Amino acid sequence: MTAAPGGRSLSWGRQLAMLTGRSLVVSARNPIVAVNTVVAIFFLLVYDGSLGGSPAVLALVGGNYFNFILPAAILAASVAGGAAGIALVTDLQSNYFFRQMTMPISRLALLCATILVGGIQVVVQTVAVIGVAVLLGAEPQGGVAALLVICLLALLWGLGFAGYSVLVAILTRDAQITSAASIVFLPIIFLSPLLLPEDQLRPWVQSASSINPASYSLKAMRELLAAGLPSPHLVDALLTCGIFAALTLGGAILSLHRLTRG
Amino acid sequence: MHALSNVTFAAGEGKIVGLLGVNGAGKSTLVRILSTLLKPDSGTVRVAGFDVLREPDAARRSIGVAQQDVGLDESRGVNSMLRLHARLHGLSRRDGDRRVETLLAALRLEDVAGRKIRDLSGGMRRKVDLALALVHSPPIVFLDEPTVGLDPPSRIELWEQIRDLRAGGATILLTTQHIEEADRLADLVVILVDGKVVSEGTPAELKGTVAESILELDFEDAAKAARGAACLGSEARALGESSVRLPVSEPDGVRTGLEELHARAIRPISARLREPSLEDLFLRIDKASRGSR
Repeated sequence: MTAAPGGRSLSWGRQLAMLTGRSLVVSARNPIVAVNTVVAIFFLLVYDGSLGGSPAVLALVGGNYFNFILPAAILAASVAGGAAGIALVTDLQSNYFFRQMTMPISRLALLCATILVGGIQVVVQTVAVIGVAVLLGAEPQGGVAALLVICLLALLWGLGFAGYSVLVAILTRDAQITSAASIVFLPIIFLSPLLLPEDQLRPWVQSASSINPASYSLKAMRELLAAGLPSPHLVDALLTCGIFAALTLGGAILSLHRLTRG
Repeated sequence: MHALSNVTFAAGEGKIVGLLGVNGAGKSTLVRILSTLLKPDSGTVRVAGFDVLREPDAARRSIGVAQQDVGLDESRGVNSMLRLHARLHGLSRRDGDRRVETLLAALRLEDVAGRKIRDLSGGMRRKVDLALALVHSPPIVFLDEPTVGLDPPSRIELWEQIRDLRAGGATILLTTQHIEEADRLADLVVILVDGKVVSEGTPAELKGTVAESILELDFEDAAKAARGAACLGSEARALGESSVRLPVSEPDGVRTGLEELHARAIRPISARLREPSLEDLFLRIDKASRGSR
């Protein structure tokens, strides 16, 4: 049954590509992606249905509530990156993750593939949400470049949430806890100018919003939808969600080291 | 408290090393360290000449691991999973496909090659797990209690496949609680108790360390067997429901034992004297270690 010991070393990029491909196939079979997309579109419809018909609200947001609420729906969709943690728990519980750890493949590539798939899921959902919003009446003024930058912001948020959920997954190895951990999303999204412009919020929410990284992304996305590039808040938005993604990835890597310490 | 302490043994090329121990003896911990899943607190571990702490990738390239609990992606098909792993091990598409075909045939998995892992029986899953461990033709294979949960025909089939692996030149570390498994397969047996190697040698050498012969007595029922065991002293042990096993170191021991029973009117229905087995050694070591705790 044995032959000559086989195989050449694969480059890190090839390992990442193959592992990402495998995780994409697994996630494509998971209905959670479709469910999250429906939830994000529902979010869009409900908020427009509740507030988009009010002349007072329309006056505050510049006339098109879909344009205003679309970034919030995109941000809501980014929590879908948490599906990465659930996928990892499945691999941990089935022992498959440990089999992969005995193979000559980079453990960083193993983690990054899982997180990257979480980010890709969020981008797919973002495209779907933007498409539905345009069909319903949103009027992005910034052109394709602005929409691509919005997708990039969504990707970074998706990577951040994916990294966070992977960190929780490794620490707990429990699907329910990993799923419940996405509750952190609530303060992040709601303590921001989600439903109304920042100057309309109560002072305590304004204070929270000023230190909330999600606020920068919401503002930048709204600017991109309204006027395209350049956006005054874009650098702040890219920096904050980039730092969020880097921190959660770092945490996930540290937790993986702990896994091998017995 | 250390799970393992001063564990040292060398496995020759193309040999099967049987690692024997009760639950919690440290067998799986040792396999996890050797397969780079766990870092030891101290000491040196070399696999195929590579330090697992300093050169983990080189060590991983040399090993195939089938853990106690199978590690499979339930959602995938057998064939596609094996091919993916062949590619991840760096085999070209052509070499990988050829290797997978060979393994499917050798492990008699051709009929289930197109099926999803989740639809397979326990025995088939165990075989797929073994195939994943072998897909890159590693020179060293770790099998952690590979026959747990298998029915007797599947177990015997897996034993044959393990022998085939050795015949192909692989060095195999086989952990097991089944003494018969180690006795039948291993070229070298290492007995682990409380994380320490307490005995090491070929099965014949280890059996030779037991000076006694073994007297086995069968009784009509369990109650008589229990009375018989009590009458024969602390060395006697129950063997199954209505049998008793007694180590006897002198020729007179057999006669003395039978006379004791006769005097108390506890008559066995049959008696036989046999050479010691690995199990006898294992039971003696286990008993001694319990006594020293």
